[in-house]
Amino acid sequence: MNKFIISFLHGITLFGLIMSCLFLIIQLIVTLFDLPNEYITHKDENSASSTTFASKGNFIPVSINMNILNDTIVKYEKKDSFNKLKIGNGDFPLHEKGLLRHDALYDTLKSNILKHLNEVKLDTIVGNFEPYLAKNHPLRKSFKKDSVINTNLMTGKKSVQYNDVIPRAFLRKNPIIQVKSIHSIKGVVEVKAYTKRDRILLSLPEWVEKILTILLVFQLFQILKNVKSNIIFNIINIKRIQFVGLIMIGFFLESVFANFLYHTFIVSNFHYSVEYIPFDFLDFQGVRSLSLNVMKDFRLTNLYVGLITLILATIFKRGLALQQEQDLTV
Amino acid sequence: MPIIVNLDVMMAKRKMSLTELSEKLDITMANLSILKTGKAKAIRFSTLEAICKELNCQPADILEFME
Repeated sequence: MNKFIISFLHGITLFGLIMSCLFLIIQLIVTLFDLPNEYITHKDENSASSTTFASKGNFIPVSINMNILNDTIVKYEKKDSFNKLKIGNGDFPLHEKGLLRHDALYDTLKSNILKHLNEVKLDTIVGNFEPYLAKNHPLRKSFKKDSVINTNLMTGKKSVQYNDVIPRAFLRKNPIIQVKSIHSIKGVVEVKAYTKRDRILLSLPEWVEKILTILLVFQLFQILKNVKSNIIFNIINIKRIQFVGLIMIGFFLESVFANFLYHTFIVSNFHYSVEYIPFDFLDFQGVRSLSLNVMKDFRLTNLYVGLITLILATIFKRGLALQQEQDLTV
Repeated sequence: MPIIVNLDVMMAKRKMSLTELSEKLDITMANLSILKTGKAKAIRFSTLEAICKELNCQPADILEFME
């Protein structure tokens, strides 16, 4: 049974190794030849979001946060195959899957990012937006199902807390809703660079990540191969485990590096307040401010896992020394 | 290594083979071979006692310290 599990894991790592090599090749193709998004994005007809199974390559995932004035009318419209989000006079044609493409937003982002990036040109800006409701909004009361009742244990007083986001089920039943005082709209924007040099520069973190993944999976593959042939306490195995720990720390450093890179190129100084909204932005009247955030997070978990693995490798090393001494005691 | 195992000398004096000794001591051939060739890192008192008893000698006859 144990042997069966190890063989199974060994097979999985082999599959992972092949897949990660494949992803590296896809990444290479995406970086060298500017492929359209459709080639690397899988669109699920029944789902509201699209799943990207391959590399995003030269895309930088940043989240966009729009603050809207209280008396602005925001219209969220859902028809059979077409979604619309309307803020003030602005008109956001939403794609079928909730993806947004807006020329005015695109132009503004383009001109602003270009200021910081000099030579990077933008191709598409795609967003996936969700409207958030203000706390005292009357529409909140219609989302009874999504509300949470909190009971104060000391006083026994009950209070109702409503969900921030307009539920999808509600939107399905009410295809057109017109609401006032939505306080913010959050979404994801993918920024794409299209000169080869910029593509390589901006996809650098992806490259590092993919190469580290291949190294990691290869080490696991080799360790499992040794375990399968009953070689467990072995200096080569311990070196491999140590290497796995270093790779995990490498993943953490990669995320820090990616954050630094994206911040330097994209997000720094990209914040609008009402005084600075440029002429293009008159298209969406009532937008108070707009800010961008890098979606990539610092992967602290990887750092912890890496350190724990290194400690384990040290323990294994001591175990190996003890076993050797034991073996040579007559 | 400063400690030298003279087991082979003692065995030759008593005209005893490795197989014979291992059978009498109830130690595997492999372990006895490790001891004989000087690869061993440690020796148990029980093993030393058994060897001394079987070869009728002192521990100093088997182990020797050299600078």
